[in-house]
Amino acid sequence: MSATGLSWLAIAIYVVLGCAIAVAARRHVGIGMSDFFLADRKVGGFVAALTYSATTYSAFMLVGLAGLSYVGGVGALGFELTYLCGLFLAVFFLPRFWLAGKHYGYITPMDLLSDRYESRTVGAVSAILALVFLVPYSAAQLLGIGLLLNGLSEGGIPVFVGILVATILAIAWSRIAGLRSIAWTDAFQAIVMIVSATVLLALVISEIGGMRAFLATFEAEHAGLLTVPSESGMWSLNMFIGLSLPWFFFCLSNPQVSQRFFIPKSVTAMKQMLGGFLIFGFVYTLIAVLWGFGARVLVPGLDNADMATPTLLAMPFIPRALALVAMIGIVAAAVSTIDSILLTLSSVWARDVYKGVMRPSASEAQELKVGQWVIPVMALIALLFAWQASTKSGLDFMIAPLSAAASAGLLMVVPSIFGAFYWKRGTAAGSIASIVTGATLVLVLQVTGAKPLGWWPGVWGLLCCVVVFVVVSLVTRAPTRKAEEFLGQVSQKLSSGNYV
Amino acid sequence: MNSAGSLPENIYPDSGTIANMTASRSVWLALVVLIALDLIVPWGIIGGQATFAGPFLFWVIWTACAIVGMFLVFARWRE
Repeated sequence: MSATGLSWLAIAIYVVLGCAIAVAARRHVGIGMSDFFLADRKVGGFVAALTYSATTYSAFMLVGLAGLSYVGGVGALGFELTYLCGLFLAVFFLPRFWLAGKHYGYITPMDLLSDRYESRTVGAVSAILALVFLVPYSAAQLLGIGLLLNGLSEGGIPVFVGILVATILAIAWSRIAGLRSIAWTDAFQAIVMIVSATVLLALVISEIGGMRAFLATFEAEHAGLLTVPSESGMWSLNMFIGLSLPWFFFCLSNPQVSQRFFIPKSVTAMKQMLGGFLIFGFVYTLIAVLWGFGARVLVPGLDNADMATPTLLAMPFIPRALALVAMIGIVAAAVSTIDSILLTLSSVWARDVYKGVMRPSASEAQELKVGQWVIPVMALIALLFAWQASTKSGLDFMIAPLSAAASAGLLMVVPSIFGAFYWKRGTAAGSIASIVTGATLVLVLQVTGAKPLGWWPGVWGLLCCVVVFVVVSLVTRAPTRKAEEFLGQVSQKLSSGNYV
Repeated sequence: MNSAGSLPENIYPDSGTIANMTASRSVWLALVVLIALDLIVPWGIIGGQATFAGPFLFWVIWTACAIVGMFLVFARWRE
């Protein structure tokens, strides 16, 4: 069978299995916003851990991070593990989100901010922030899938067809049963991701002569990649902080991730979700970085580091079937991220923009209907973005700048989240001003490429955002009664559950 | 007695709340130390060591410690 035929066969098996799982999830669907977007807050620990993992880890890991390790060395490991250690924030915020979500019935993180600051505008502004930065980010994922399928089918699958397939899957798996179908398909996809990556890494190491030989060869031939900064000059301290800072706060800043804080069915499930994700993330990060190092040993001298993974997968020692499974693993990583983003954005649109600002009198049924219709609309916008980018200059045009801009832009909601739980004086005006000012500054710095004092846009954006949030909050009137009621509720429940 | 002549409500946190506040501060402090180590050790101390026993091993151990720390904190959570 030709490369194109084999690729289509692998995709067909993946689609059939995924759809069967999504349809099975549909049997448990109830009615209402909480049911559709949060699976009625009754997700078990194992599935919660896997959906959290699959949503967080996109195609970036085995393509982008492997490429960063290939060209920049060990700093890429520090960068990604710093992100993982950012989960320390979840130790504080996961129980707070979960307890407040259950008590007040929040559907989205923006819903929480609106209520806490007693301003629907706060929710709408943070919703727009998410829409602005996450739709292009989804498009970058779609484009990545299109290029990967195109490369592995040796041009047999056009880029646009790959983008279209991924878009249809993301729509279907989020529309069929909302978070239930996404959580179940994510769990399936997370297993495909980790198993395929582990097997392939084992093959690569075995090809080099075993782990000891792999480490010795890498140290002998590429010692300069084991230092920071690396011999190529990558990973200066400023670059490390600039890239790591937005990712350190990823679990709070990205609504598709922080919305997961509402879904565990119990404290035990919450613990399993966090613990499971930490183990998954640690293993998957090591695999991606060692995969990049393996590529450096086996195929040195690539002009484009993002081609390290496709080039490695095309090598003769990797059985064709395994290369296809790896391809599906990467596609799964991207699709599981996109469908979660689509679902979150649709809930954000329905709850925080439609009901919050446009039509406050809307019933829950109307709200749900709007949310469900927004899914294909968002997907279509992301598809158009990805298609447009594919006709220009591909990955260089989209993935790197958009991923960096997205994570730095979304960071601007973090001071408002901290304020919601830790500072009674925080106000709606402070929140809105800080998000708008910070996001504008990040966009300007990203577009112009300016790095004053060598500091990256996310660093400047966050500094500006914190200062504006504090100053504007201090000169405006705080919702004291609500703040005391909200913080009192949360504090009481935190104390009884032994949380920090 | 307050101005209304009744006994004041208990304005002091109970021992459980105080213990939680202390634990919370300790965990925040641990996080700050972790972040400081993340920057100081690789760039200030072992950054030039061009072997797997350099920054690579540091970040693996650093992450393992962070994960163990997180497990210790959330293992105490209860229904």
